Formats: sequence, C-alpha cells, structure tokens
Amino acid sequence: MSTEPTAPLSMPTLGGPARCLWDAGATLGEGTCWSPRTQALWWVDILERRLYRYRPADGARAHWDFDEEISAVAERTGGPGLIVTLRRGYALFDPDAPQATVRWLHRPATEPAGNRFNDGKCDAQGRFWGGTMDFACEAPSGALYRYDADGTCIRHEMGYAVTNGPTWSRDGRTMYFNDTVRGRINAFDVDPPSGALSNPREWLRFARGDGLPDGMTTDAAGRLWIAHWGGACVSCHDPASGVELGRVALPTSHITNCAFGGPALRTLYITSARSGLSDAQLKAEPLAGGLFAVEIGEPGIEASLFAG
Amino acid sequence: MNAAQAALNASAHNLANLSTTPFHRQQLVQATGPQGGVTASFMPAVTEGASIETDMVGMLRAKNDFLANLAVFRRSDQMLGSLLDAVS
Repeated sequence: MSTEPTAPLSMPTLGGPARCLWDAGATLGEGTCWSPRTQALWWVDILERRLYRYRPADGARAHWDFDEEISAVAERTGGPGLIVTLRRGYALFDPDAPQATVRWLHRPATEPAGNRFNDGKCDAQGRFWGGTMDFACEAPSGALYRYDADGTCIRHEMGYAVTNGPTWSRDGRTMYFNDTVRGRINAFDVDPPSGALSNPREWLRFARGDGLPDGMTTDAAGRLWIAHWGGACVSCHDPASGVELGRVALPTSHITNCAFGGPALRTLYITSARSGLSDAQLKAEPLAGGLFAVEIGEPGIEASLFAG
Repeated sequence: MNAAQAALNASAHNLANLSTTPFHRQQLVQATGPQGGVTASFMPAVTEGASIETDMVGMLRAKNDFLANLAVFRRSDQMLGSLLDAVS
C-alpha cells in the first residue's frame, strides 16, 4: 500500500495566469518532458509526427519530423538523445547527432494494427511505461506497456479505448493510469523493484462536462496535476483522497499533457490540441494547439531517465 | 505454447462467466524476454463487465499462436532430421 503523507495538502500559489509560449497550432500536442541536460522542454505533435524542443532561457525553438506518429519521449542514462514511442513501438533518436536517425528497439508483434502508442514516461527505476490506443478512439483495445533497458517488454491488457499517463506517487508504490474515454483515473499498487502491478481500482472519476483525463504529472509534494481534454484546464489533486485542490485555467479546450520544468522545476508546461475542435471553436480559441506555461509556488520533480 | 494456453484459459474463463454478476474480466499480462520467450499472467479489470468481442478475438489469437509455435517445432524437427541424415 502507498505510504503517502497524511497531512492535508493545499493548492500551491500560481504566479499569474498561464501564458502561451509557442503558438504552434499543434494538431495533437503531447509528450511534455523537461530536459535537465539542455534546460529545454521536449514535446510532440503526435498526428503531425513532429518532435519539438523549446528552450526558455533564450526562446530557442527546434523541431524534427518523423515518418510515423511520435507520442512520448524520455532522456537516457546510457547515451545521448532520447527513447521515443512511435506509432508501433520503441526507438532511440538523438536529435543532436549529425545525421539524426531512428534506431528501432522493439515493435510489439501482438499489438492490433489499428492501435498506436500514446502517452508515456519512465519510472524511477528507468523503465519506460506507455499506453497504446485505438487510432479512432473507439475500440477498447488499448494496452499498457512496460519496456526495460534489457529488452524485456510487458503488455498489460487494459481494455481502454484511449490510454493516458501514467504517473506515480512519490514513494513509487502507486501508479495512476487513465481510462480517458470512460473519464476515469485508475490506480494500481506497484512493487518498485520488479515493476509488478496489482490491486487495480478506480481512483478518481471526472464529473460529466468537466472534460476527460489526459496526460498528468506528480509534483514534489505528491500532488497530481491532470490535463482536462475538453475541460480547458489542468487540475491539481491530493494523491490520497483524489480531492481537487485547485486548477490552472487555459484559453483553449483540449488540454493534453503537462510536466514541470525550468531551472527550479517550478514552471508547469502544458500542451494542447486543435484536433476535435469545431470550426467555431477554433475561431473562438486562436491559441488551440499552443504550448503554455504557468509558474507554480512549489516545485515538481525531474523526469526519470530511461535506464538504457 | 504455455503462454498461448494461458491466454486461451483466460478467454474461456471470461466467456464462461458472461452471466455472472458482478464480473470483472481476467486481463492478460504478457512478458516478452530479451531472448524472445513469452510468459503470461493475469490481472482483473477495473471496470465491471464482459467484452465478448475481445475474448473471442483472444481465443482466435491463442489458436493462431498455438499453430505458429507448432509450425516452428515441426520445422525445427525436420531440420534436425535433415542434419542427422547429412552427417550419418
């Protein structure tokens, strides 16, 4: 069981409203991951098959195009560059290499042809966790994968049409993973050394009309920050009770992911999407698909590196 | 082939318990090792209810996995036989 702190947590102060850093017009922004090495933020546009890098110190922007959908990234302990999930599996990619090319690691043979990888990140042990989903967001064919540095790959059948997350409790003994279409965030007990999951249960269900749970992250005190697809916000939750402590409002509806970054890990970077918005919504929300940031009074935690 | 057997058992269990309430499907956890071996275990679904289409597809996939593995064994046996014939 989780050994989360029992003292009640409160909402940290916000350093003003969220501001748009990059009006990128992403079709499906996602994949937020702060890079301590380069003091920059990685993020992706899944459907436009593009990796982005934003360096806040000087506003430098860069991007790389791929032959298939790129959905999540993590930096590595064993080399430069990134491990990435592409539509069909795991690969290495070094954006700063003279000839940046994709080196495939593993393409799971049993994954349905209509699925693609979606959100994902590494746990504290350096294992990459990420989910798959039906490309059309309809069939309950999504699975949760774990890929280890030694090449072990574990597929957990989930039966979700769209998967998002995961993120973890501060002690690493609870994993949260989103059944987005059903509006639910489920929790699992984790044995950190082995990565074995058990005791699956519903942890939180979004109220109807408040959007659907998309990407999320954990801060240094253990609070969960969850993006609302269709809810125009990121909400902050107590990790034990799930109670909402507060929210960050955004000027566009489809909020997709978030991650802490910046020199003191006190900036929450937030992605969004144009996908799924009507023409009228797109006209009313000109910053849809942008990259946003808001200063938070308390820090997040560094993204874990892939162990390979 | 053991992993295919386990998958078949889970699908059969889920289909056999369609009318049981409350029912949480047994979901398959498949681990592929660095050298390619596959092991299987299970975890109950969070959401209550059946998924007939998933379990029917699961049974067909398990059957195909059986046949594919069997073909590998058969071919391996034939190759070993040919090798022994060649050296004898």
